[in-house]
Amino acid sequence: MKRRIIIIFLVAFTLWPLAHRAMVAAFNINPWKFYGWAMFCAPNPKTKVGVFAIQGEKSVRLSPTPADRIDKNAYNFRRGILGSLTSPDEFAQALLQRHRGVDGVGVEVKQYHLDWRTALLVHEREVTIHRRP
Amino acid sequence: MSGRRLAKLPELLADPPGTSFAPNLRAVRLLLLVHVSVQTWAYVFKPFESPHIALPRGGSITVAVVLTACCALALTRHARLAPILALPALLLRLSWGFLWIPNHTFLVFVCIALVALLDPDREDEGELLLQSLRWITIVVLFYTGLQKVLHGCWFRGEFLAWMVSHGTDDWRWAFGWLVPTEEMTRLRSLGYNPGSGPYRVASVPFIVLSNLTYLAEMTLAVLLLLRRTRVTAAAIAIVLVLLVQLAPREFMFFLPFSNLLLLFIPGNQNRRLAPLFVFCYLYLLGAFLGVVPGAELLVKASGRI
Repeated sequence: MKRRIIIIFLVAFTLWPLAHRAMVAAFNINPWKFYGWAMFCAPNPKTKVGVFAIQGEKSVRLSPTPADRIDKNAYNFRRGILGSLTSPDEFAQALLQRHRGVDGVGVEVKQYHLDWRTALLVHEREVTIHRRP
Repeated sequence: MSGRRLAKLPELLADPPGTSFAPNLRAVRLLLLVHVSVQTWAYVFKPFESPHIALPRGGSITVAVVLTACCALALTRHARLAPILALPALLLRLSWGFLWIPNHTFLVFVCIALVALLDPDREDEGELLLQSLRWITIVVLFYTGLQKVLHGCWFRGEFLAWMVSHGTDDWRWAFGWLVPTEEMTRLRSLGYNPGSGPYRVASVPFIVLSNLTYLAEMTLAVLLLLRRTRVTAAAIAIVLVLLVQLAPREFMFFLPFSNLLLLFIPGNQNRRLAPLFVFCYLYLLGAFLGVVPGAELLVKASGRI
């Protein structure tokens, strides 16, 4: 029984880094994390999350509360590791609850990475809009 | 790999019949526990500032005490219980910062889970333990090379150029001497704006070193599988891992990984060198706390070990 458990584990341990590489490509998870043995393979990606408010069709500045900042940092941390596997929905809903006067909020995620083809720094930007139901 | 060769894998990873490996595996068990104990005390004495990875103060002290007690237990006739008792404490510690767990911490956790599950003093379990630890070592070494290939940032030295440009002084100290002065000036002037670069260096030795790194990692992993080349491969791999870890100062990876690599060298080397490893761990903790000299060489630029 023990032998069987260990063999199953070792097979999973051996194949996991390949799945890890696929997840880095598909979901932009941090290659340095999650035991894919890909530390120092590419620059450790840095993520920067920003927020703004939606009034009508316009985007306007959102004055962040201390709670907003805490949530933003927490989402920034999660996003930097989990990539697109972590959705900004929960964070956006918390913002909408705290800022009753706005029609919606936008969450902007910026991340840079080194393009191996050109060896140049590439910035990626993803914006999601969350309107009040 | 064909089915027949796959079936031969356990045999390849085993020692010749009659070889005594229990004392070595007992030493590995002790050193793994020393590793997690030292690591947890480092977290206790210098807690993380980030709220996302900070451990609860009382909890981390309790875990550190439990793990240290397990180290002491590993030296007694009840040593078999030491990793079994350490495992829940370690699991608790890992659960506090799950997303952030570094790869080497996970590696040590896996090895402790194996020594908790398998008794080194029982011949059948000891052999399986030895084979498992060796296989894990080969897998980790091979993938550290393969991932460099798959991510594509080592063929023309892009990753090293990035680290020389934006990394700590340790990276410039380790690789800067291979970069021509004008190239170094250019790399140092690069910012984080879109289009910044190119992160490539017109230096043949720099590019050769970059390519040799992943080639050596993957080749040595394969050579560890073969009995004829195993000892030499393990010795070279220990030196290679030490050299690779000099720039990032990841000695908390080097120590357990070299301990695992020693399993490929006959003569119960883990047991022989166990006092030296314990000394290295304690010295590293001492340097981290600033009570012994050497922090500038042993502690990472982030102030951690």
